[in-house]
Amino acid sequence: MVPGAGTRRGLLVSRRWIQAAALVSVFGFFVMGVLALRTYAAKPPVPRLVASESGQEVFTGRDVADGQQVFLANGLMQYGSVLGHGGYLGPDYTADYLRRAATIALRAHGGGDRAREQVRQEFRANRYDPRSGVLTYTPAQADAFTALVGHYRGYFADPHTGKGLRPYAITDPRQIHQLTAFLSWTAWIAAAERPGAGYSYTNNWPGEPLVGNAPTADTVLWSVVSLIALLAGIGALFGAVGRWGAHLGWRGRQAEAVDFRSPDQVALTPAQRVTAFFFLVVALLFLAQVLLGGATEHYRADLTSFFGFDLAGLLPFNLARTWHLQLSLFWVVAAFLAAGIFLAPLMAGGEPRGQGRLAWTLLIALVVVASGSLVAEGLSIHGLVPPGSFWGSQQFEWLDLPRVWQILLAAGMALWAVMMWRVLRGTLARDSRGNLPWLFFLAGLAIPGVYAVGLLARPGDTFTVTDFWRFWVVHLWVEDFLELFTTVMVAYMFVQLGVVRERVALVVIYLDVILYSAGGVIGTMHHLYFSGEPVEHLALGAFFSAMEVVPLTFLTVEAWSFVQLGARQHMESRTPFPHRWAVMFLVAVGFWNFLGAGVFGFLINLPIVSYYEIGTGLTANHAHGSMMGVYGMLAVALGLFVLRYLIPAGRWPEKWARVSFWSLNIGLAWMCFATLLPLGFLQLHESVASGYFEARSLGYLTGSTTTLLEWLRLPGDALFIVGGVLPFCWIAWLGVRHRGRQAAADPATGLTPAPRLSDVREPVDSA
Amino acid sequence: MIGPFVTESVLAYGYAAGLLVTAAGLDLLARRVAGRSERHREPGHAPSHDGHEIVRGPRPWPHSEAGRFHRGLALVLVVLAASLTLVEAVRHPAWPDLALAAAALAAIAVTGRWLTGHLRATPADFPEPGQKAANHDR
Repeated sequence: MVPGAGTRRGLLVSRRWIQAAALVSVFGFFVMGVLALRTYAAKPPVPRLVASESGQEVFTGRDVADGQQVFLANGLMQYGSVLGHGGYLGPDYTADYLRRAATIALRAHGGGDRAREQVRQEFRANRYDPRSGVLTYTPAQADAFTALVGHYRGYFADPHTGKGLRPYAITDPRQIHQLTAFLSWTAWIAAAERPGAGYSYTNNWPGEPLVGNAPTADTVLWSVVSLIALLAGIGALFGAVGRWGAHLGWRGRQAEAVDFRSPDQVALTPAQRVTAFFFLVVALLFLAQVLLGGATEHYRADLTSFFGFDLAGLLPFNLARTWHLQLSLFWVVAAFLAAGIFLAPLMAGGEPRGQGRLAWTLLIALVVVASGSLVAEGLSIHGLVPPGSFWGSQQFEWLDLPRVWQILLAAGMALWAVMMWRVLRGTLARDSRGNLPWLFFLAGLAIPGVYAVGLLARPGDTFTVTDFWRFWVVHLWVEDFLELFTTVMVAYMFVQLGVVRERVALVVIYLDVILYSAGGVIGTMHHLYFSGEPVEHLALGAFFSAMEVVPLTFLTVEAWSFVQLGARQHMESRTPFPHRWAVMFLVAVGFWNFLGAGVFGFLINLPIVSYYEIGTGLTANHAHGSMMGVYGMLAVALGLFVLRYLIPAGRWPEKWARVSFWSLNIGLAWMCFATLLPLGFLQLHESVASGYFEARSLGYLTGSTTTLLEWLRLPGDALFIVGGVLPFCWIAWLGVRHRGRQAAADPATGLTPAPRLSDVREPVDSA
Repeated sequence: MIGPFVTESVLAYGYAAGLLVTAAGLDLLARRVAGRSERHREPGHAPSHDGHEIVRGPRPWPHSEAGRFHRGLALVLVVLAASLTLVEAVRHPAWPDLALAAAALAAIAVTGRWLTGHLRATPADFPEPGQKAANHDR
């Protein structure tokens, strides 16, 4: 029996907030459930057998599944892409196969207008027989497959590293046959018309005149509708703010005047002190991530050598990018987990015995999972692990870690949720289920829960299905649930500092849940316009993801009110406000949320833009602006908040915190505006003017203008690494060196009291 | 070629001009932020304990430093525009293109001077305990 159970504190906000949040969330996930069913029901078929008109086997459905595993295990989704999803240096292999196969067929038919029409008809005709499970290729299509097996054999068995791949990347003829079968299948669903429709399974993506692929009426229509939705949403937002602004967001007045405690006066619990080591790991992973980012960028600027050294033999592009992406998730998530460990005792008022040991266990587990999965990915890309290995290969982009490591990571996050429960259970028993401690716990519980959904993406399944579940992690987990947990954590940080009242924080959190659930949950589908999903995914994805910009705008505006509210308090304090740079990093989060996630995101969100743009520079621009700009800056803000209490006040490196803040932001802005944005515009123009195949070709990417733009990024990247990341590493090291001051545990209960971060000076009645 | 100009040069100088416009937009944003903090400085917001409502006089930080952040990033864009223009002038040193480069550099110089002045006039104003005036921490 938990002490105090049965006498719960009352709900601090109107019950209507809970009802509204529940209603919107249930609606969003109900629609997602329906879309999941539709994904399975309307996915493109993988034929049991693909045969020529004479009945001879071309390849089998098993070859397609195995070929997908060959593609993934060799890290090719981090080099090029299929169906638009993956890396940006290599080609989109769907578009690549389609162009090459159509060209071979055109040549076989003798060229000319009649041959063109014949090729178009052959590729658009759907010769799949659902009763027998046999897909029949025309002689030209079958001959093209044979020719392309030879082409990809030469391509992947290249002894040189001029493409950024390791030499002799794939030499096994069987694997080449399987890989070509997989690529052939993606090209088939891209051109063959969906039964009963006048467009292909991929909504006619990629644009390829040789097979009659051009944007569909739905692609254009839903682009227009989503634009209207955006305008209407923004209008409704400002209308709502005008009408109810006084009751929404960071409004209200804090009733007390507070004095912030000096970090020297704050005695920490054992687990809070362990977070010093978490943040050192975070900093080192961050450093490794940006160094690998530098390597991937160098490949784009100079593909053939790394300042005279043949890097691709050891660290090919796809391995560098795999690690770059994986580490970005690892260090950000590790920072969030550490911040949760630090904040939970503050919420509960103390920490039970053994929490410090559990924190160490979690840290060691995270280090083992991070290093183990990175090593496994390296072995897989170097061909030392067989495709489809439970232990050693998976490599979906963003879900690169092999399956066993994926399970262990989910288990590690579940352990963290248990740790949160151990600390909070007394508080949870005493508090209303709609108040802040419960929201903190439930938002935390969703982190392992939603991440685990990614386990439904299995390397051998139909690509369309795997991509559906993959984006539950890439979009829903990262963009919605981490965002929600962030809002709860930041709100609680400021409640603890005495800057805002709990009721105000609660209103903002419920508003966040409602706004993000309204657009962000179903908006996940904007990643899946062309993955083989039925057209309703495109329609709903376009409409609801346009609505995502509305909460981004609102929350950016609200962030200012939040900061303003905070300003009132720290100006009144007689003691220094200790979190100058944590707050400035939060200001940066607001800026990048609007620019990187909002503006750069919407730039590529319309289906008609995405049709030409997917997998090009503007996607990279959005990814860097939002992932580093929002989640990276946020993780650093959380780090500085915690490290402030781990480093004695007299040793706090104020100068290096300032240098890191400016360098990270200037470096990121330079990265986006010097290279990613202009390159993205040029590549989009090339895609519309010449074709998607051309825009994704190495010939285009290594052209004189693009190379110039890639080199132009160097000063920003150097500043980001040297001026931004290294000082953060130094601050994290100081955290480990000093590790704060240990609070004494109660010998009877084993409970270590949590510190107070501020003292109420003048309790005052307020209206 | 676009008329007498190399296409790449026109695109580069056009993009540099776009960067200047974006920098000006950021400066405007910074001014609005600073305006918000200036409004808080106005009289009539002094702390009061004489009723049910407490109205305090919030001072500029972090709006002041946020304004500085925006103006700092605006200057980064100006520096980038200058770098791009100079690199392009070296790549295509023909006279018609150099005339465009000169025009771009003139605009960059004017914008850069204007924004530098604004940045200098935007102190961080991070408060020290008991401090009433700006500390002009830069």
